[in-house]
Amino acid sequence: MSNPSLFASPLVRQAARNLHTVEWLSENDTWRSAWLWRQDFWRTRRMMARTPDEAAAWLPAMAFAVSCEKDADVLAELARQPLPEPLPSEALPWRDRLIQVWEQYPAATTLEKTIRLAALVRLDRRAERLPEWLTEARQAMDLEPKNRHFRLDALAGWRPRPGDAPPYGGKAEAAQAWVRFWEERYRTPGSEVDGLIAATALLHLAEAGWLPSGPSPERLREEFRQRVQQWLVSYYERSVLPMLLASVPADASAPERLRQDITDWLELSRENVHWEKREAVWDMLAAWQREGVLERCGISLLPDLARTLEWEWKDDVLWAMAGYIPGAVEVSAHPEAPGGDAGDHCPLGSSQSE
Amino acid sequence: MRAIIARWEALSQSDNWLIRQAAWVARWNFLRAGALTAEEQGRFSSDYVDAIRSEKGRAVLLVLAQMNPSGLFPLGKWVRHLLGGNYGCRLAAGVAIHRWLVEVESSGQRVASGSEASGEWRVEVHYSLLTTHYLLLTTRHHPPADAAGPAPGREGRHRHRDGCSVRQSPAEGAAGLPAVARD
Repeated sequence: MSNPSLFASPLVRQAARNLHTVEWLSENDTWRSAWLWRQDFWRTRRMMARTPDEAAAWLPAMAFAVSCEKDADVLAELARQPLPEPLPSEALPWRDRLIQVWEQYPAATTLEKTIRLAALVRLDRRAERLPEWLTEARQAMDLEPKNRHFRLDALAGWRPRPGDAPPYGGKAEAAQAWVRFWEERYRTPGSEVDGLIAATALLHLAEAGWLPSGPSPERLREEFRQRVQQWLVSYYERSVLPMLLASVPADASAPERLRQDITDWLELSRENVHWEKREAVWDMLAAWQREGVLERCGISLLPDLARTLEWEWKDDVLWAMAGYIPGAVEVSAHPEAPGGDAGDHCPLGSSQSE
Repeated sequence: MRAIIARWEALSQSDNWLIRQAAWVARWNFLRAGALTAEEQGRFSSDYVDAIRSEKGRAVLLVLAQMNPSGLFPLGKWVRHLLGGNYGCRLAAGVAIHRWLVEVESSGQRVASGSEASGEWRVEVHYSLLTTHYLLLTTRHHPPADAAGPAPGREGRHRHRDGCSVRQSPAEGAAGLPAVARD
C-alpha cells in the first residue's frame, strides 16, 4: 500500500495516531478494570501543553473513549476536555461525531445524564438546541437540591456561538423563554448556589448581547465573583464549583477590566481560602492563560504563580497550577531561555501538530 | 520564571505522588513553551530518565509515558517496567512504548529488526490500521458507528487486531503490547 502520509494532512495523521493509541488502551485489562487510570490519563491530557491543532487531533480518540466509557468520573473528565475555537475545518466532522456519541450515551442515572448534558451544552452551542435545554432546565427543578444544582450548573454553561445574535421570528420564543428562566432564578434564587448558577447563565447571555435590558456583563462578573467569595461550599456542592468557574470565559474586551477582575480572583487563591476555591480559581486562570486571553491583554500571572508556589501544599491546587503554560511573550521576557527546544515537539504557538 | 521552574523541579521529587504528577506536567508544559534554559533542559532530560528508572508511583509513570522529550527514547527502561513492574507500571510502559512505536511507524522510519541488529528489539507494525484511520478521518464527515467507536449499545470494545502483526513475547500477556518482542 502506498504511504498514507502522502494523502493525509498532519492533523489527520496525528488524530489517527491518537485514536489508535486509545483503541489499543481499550484492549488492555488494566485500563479497562480501573477507572482511575482512565481518569488520570484524560486529566493529564487536559493539563498538558497543546496547540489548538493538537487539541483538535484528540477529538476522534475522545469520541471512541466516550463510546466505551461507563464510569461517571471518567466521563466527567472527558466532558471537560478542551475544545479549541475556532476548530480547523478538517476537525468539524470529528466534533460532530463526538456530539453524536454523547447523544447516544445511554445515561442511566441522574448524574450520568447531567454529565452528558454538560458535554453537549459545551459542544453544541446552536440556538436550535435551546428548546431541549429549556425542557431539561425546567425538569431539573423537580430534582433534589444536589442533583438540581449539578444539572442546572451543566445547563448554565450554555453560550451562544460567537456572533450569534438572539434568534428572531418563530425561533425567538425558546430563546426568550431561556432568558426568562434564568432571570427569574437570578431574581429569586432558592439558595446561594442557585443564584450563582443563574448569574453564570446570564453572564453568558449578556456577553453575547442577548440581554439588552438586563444586567450588564460587568455587573454580572462582579456579582459572580463576590458570590463565589461568600459561598460556603458544602460537601455536596463541591462538584458544582469547578464546573461553574470552568464555564466562565475571560473578558478579553477590556484589558484593564480583566486585570482588575483577575486581581480580585487572586484574592481567592490565598492561603486562608478553602483549598477547593483555590483549586477552582487556578483552574480557571490557567485555562484563560492556555486560551491565550491573558497574553493578548498583556497580563502575566508568573509573579503570582511564583508567590503561590512558595507555600501551596495541596496536591489538587498544584495540579490546577501545573496547567499554567507561559506564553511566548512571557518566555521572550526571559531571554536566558533559548526560545524553546521542546524536544520532539515544536514550541507552542507553532502550527505543527503533536 | 527561574524560581517557578526550580520549584516545580523540587516538587517533582516530592514524597506525595500526586504532587510529583502535577510537577511533571508543569515541567513538561514549561519545556514545551520553550521556557527552559539549556541547563534546565538538561536537568529535565536526566530527571526524566531517572524518574522512569526509579519511579514507584504508577500514576506518575503514566504521566511520564505521555511525554516525549527530545533525545533517544528510553526503551530499555520502559521495557524493564513492562517485564518486571506491577500492573500499573506495565500499563504506563505499554502506553509509552505504544506511542513511540506508532510515531515511528507513521513517520515511515524503521526500527532495527533482528536481521539488521541482532539483539535489538524487533518491531513490526503494519500500516493497515493507521491507514484505515487516515482514510476514515479524512473522507467521512459522519463515520459509521464503528469508525470511531462501537455502536450505541456500547458493545464491541474488543477490536480485531489485524492491524498489527504480533510477535508474542513475555510482555504480551502482561500489558497487551502488540508489537514488541525480543529476538
